Amino acid sequence: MPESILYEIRGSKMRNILFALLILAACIQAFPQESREARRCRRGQAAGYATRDATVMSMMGWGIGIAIGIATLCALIDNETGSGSSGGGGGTTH
Amino acid sequence: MRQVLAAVEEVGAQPTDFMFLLFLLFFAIAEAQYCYFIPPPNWEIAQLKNPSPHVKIGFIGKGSTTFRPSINLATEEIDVSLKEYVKAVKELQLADPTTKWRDLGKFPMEGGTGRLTEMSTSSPWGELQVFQAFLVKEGTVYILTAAILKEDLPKFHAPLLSSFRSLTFIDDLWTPIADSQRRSEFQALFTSLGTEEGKWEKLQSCVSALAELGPYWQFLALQEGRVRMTSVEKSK
Repeated sequence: MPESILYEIRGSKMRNILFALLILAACIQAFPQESREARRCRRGQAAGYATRDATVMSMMGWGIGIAIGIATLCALIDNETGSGSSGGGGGTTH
Repeated sequence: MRQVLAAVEEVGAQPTDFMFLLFLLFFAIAEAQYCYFIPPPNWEIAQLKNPSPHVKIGFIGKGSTTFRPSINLATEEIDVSLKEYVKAVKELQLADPTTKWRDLGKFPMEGGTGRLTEMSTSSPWGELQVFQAFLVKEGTVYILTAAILKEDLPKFHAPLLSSFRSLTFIDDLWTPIADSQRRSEFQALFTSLGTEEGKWEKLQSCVSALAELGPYWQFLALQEGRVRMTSVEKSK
């Protein structure tokens, strides 16, 4: 077999291998990229909600003073434990 | 360790049970950490109909208009650094073209070094300033957010920053009680909850006497006390 044909076969094989590797790399990159993007979109969510809630509290919120007694706090806690709500007292870190 | 395992075997338990208990104990200890802050003096606990699940608690003060200054604590589980998180927040907040956002840099807090940001936007009450302090600890970001009208800023700027600085973490609820006698009294009372009648009322009066720790600590102490009491009563 002439040497030039041999080189051509080797070259085309090499091209195929490179092409396959390229596709494989693109696939590997694409999936984590998608999930990275999704995670990135989710990040900052709490800060966004906190901003919204701070503004709403300032505009429409009403407060309960400590001065009116600890009993109100207890009532709040009873309500929370009764309803199984997650808001209000989740100071425990996770 | 071998001696302990041998002792466990003697009482009839399997070493695997013991290891499982140790595992549970580790998580119980790891979970038993609280994050709290002290809101500005005389601010009230805010009531909100539909708070976000991220927002743990909020407080409101008295402003010059019907728009009341507010502060809240939010948390979010994250897998990025504080710097990256703040970058994501910047992108999110600047999605509104009328908003101006600034990173004010590192911010020392009792629980560690955080980051402070400032955002300004317009509202029907006038120009609105939103300050946010971020602190990351063990895969969770703790966010203190304060909303205030620009005209009220000179009055509330210092107390708000002081409140931001107070954000800290404690292993036990009694840790921040400065007086050692009061601390041990509180600890004894707290750990005996649910064992006798009248302890809950005692806890209430004890907690109300510890006003210097702020209303959020008081809220946590009562809430955790209630949980403990219920679990002890159920186990009887």
